[in-house]
Amino acid sequence: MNRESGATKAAVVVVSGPATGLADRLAARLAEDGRPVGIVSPRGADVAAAVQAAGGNAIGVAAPPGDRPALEAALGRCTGLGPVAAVVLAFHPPSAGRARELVSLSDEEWDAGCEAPIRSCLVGLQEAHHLLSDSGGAVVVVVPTVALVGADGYVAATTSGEAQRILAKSAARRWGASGITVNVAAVPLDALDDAPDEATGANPSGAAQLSLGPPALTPPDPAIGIASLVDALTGGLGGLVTGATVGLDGGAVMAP
Amino acid sequence: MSSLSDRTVLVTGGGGGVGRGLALACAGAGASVVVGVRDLSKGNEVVERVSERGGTAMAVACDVTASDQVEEALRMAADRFGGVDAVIHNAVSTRSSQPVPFEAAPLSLWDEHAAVSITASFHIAQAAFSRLAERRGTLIFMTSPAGVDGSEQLSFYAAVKAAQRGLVKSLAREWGPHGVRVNAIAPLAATPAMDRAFAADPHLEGRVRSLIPLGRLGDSELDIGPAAVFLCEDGSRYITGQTLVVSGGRFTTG
Repeated sequence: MNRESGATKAAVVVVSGPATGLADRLAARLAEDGRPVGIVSPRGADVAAAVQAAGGNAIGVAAPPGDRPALEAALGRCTGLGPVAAVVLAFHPPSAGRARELVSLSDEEWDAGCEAPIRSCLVGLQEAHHLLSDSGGAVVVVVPTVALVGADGYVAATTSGEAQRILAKSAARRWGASGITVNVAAVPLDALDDAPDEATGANPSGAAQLSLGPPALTPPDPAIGIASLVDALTGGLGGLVTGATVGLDGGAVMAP
Repeated sequence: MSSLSDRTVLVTGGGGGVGRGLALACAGAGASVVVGVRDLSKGNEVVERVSERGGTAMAVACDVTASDQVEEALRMAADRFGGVDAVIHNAVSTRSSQPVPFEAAPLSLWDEHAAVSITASFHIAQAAFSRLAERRGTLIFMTSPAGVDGSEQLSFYAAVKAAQRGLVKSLAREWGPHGVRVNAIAPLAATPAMDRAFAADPHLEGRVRSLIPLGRLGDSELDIGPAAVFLCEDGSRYITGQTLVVSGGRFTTG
């Protein structure tokens, strides 16, 4: 397991699907912290350009979610940043925060909201393994906290989130001997939503938050929390924590 | 009067293994049981066994990956018995017990697992909702302790079982106001696949038993079946959104 020390930080690659808002903010935050950042997303090139304009070191590549050859090639390009210490996977539909009754969903909506993100996560985990198998490293999978407790109107999101969470646990069990840790960052659903209500501009996931209760802390942008988690998992906690779910929602959910 | 008298229970994958045990247990508790199977001959064998014991059952063709067959199975159940009180989705991929090389497994293998356990769960829930709401019924998913803990060898199986647990948690909240309860059972039971594994490795059974505080694998009808009966009957009317782990104490994760 690579453990970082000193001032030089190894690169982190952020891979996301159709919803890119949180991943974009995470990439920017990592770059602010002095990380070389790879951004693999539909908007990767634009985000990388913004990071570079702000003085950061970034490579952005577009790769359709779940496209294994495209992701493999994209991760290969990201190695141009130098050694990669961590890969963050965040696959969610743009409207993750919008409540929908299960009986109202079409097959296509179910696939987009639930099964396609799982497939993307699976391919992402596999390609992250290929990238990190020689030197070890950390993988972080981002899921909504509602996956842990459920929420009225969010069956697709919770089904998808729990599948991704247990894919991460299984990978953690399997890859520990290779020096690869796999953990889960659980964030508020609204942090994953790229499609706020057009009329009000508000994020529509308030219903989900109601089922969770108020957070004990006032949480900052989860991008900050994930960046800190990556720092810990590639630093002092490198090689020590795997298969864990870390809640980054200010304590709204305190599930085991 | 038996606890499930006048109730109708549909069990998918009811022709063998755990599903057969669930069907027999529910019939033993007085339910009219609809045995959903891909191979009707296996379903009819279960029906005969139920009949021998004085119970009521029928077999229906129900490949859960075909949503029209799911809808037809529910319609046949309602036509024959007057309604549907409980649906137990037990069917799994025929490859569910095969180890998966996670980092190299093809997406097509994932799709096989997901079709039976995730897509089918969605279709079953959609198709069953109105009938279950009519009777303030219950929907039960047979999941697995692997869906809580993950699994080094059975990673795809673990993930689709976790998906069902996620579905249960939200659907229970969504359907509670309609009077429909949604729960899961995570069993550790003797199955034909496990029997084959024990036959191939004579020491395996002892190693597995040593990990179970109660010292044995669960019997599908006598150990797992009663958990399903409980979740179908009135005694569990205030329980929803839960995963009941029935593993002889092997798994204690919350």
